[in-house]
Amino acid sequence: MSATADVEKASRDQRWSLIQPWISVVVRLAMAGILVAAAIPKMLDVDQSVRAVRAYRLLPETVVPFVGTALPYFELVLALVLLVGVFTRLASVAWLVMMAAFTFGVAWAWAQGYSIDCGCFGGGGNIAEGTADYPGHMLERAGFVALGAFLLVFPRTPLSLDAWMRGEPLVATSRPE
Amino acid sequence: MAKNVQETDKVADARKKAQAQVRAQERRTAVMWVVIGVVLVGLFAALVAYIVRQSEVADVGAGDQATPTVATENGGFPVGTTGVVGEGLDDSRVRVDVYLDFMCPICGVFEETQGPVLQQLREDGTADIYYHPISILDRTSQGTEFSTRSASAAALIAQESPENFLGFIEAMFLNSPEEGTPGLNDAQIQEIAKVAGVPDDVVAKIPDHAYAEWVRSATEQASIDGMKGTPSVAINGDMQDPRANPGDLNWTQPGALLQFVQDAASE
Repeated sequence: MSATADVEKASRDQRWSLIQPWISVVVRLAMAGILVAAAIPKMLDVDQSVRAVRAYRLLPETVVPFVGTALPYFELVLALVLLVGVFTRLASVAWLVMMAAFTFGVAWAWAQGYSIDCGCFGGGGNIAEGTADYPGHMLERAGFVALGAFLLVFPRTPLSLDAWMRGEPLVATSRPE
Repeated sequence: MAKNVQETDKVADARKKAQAQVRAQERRTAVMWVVIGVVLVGLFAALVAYIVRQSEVADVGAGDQATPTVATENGGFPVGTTGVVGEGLDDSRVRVDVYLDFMCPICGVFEETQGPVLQQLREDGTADIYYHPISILDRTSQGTEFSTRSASAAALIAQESPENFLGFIEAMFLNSPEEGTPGLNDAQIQEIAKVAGVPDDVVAKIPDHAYAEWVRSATEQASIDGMKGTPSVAINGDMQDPRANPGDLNWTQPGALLQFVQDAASE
């Protein structure tokens, strides 16, 4: 490698290390917002949330009411963790595990030919025949997975408890170390 | 001398670094416990919500909820040849369970197009119809819980004025509100009941919503029984889901309901 190429690479890296934390913080807050948007309608209509879980016909009836009731609470806790930016990498793993489960559920319902709305943002259960937008849901899922994957690889964000724990300034101007 | 100063600086630097590390570790430990605490509080809240809900949504007719005695254990109001709830029934006939929410627009279409078919099947003794007024669309009535209130009124009428039950259902769907509106208020539901012929003393009880808890339990039971939306139809206890099972009844095709029930009767 020539010296100029090295210099170019170094300046690219530097630019990225300046931009990345701010992209990550937007991703992190977006994920928190998505979780809150998913949790609120479920909490307002718990019976509907339970029915939506039941409509997938994946879980045994003994656990369906608990999953339907508890899901929004888990979503809110994870939203809070992401909002304050604590253990961000672990949180993005939890997010990805959750998304994997939901994606499996939607794919399963699609494969079985069930006309169910995913119930991801409340609502859900059966809907009028043929109106289930499975490709749309899958695309949405893919986007959510991409967000989680980005935060998993680049968990370092300003304005986070993680930064505070490391003793960095809350708004770092460049990456230390 | 200069060398000494340098070394002292180095030692001080190292000590400073070590102290920073210790502090960072302390912060990390403290934050970790806080996060664990928050997760536990969330888990606890979820458990409480679950236990509260389990106690609220009793089995149909269980607990101390007011229960219409004419209803079956799965929350259906049986109507036979006479058109009166609980009368003119025969177990040897085909059993048709119909699940309706008064807020659901397609239920109105179902009532309009399939109501006469059901009447024919009922009157010629082919089938008994079990009506399930349930509540899955409360979230679309801007907090007035129109689905629950109207289903509770239907349960009341089935119990206390059984000969006007079918008329009330028909009249309700003729006046069905749009989704996303507050729906009909109690006075409007009372007016519809009155026009359908329900006696005044029964009409007067509609605003009590006496069967609201029962409706919630019956709706949960319907969901457990495979109802995934309204309208839903079960034939002899089999919930029909034509999209998942191509052999199932698809009532939206003209003549399908009549043919399906007649086939079931001749089996």
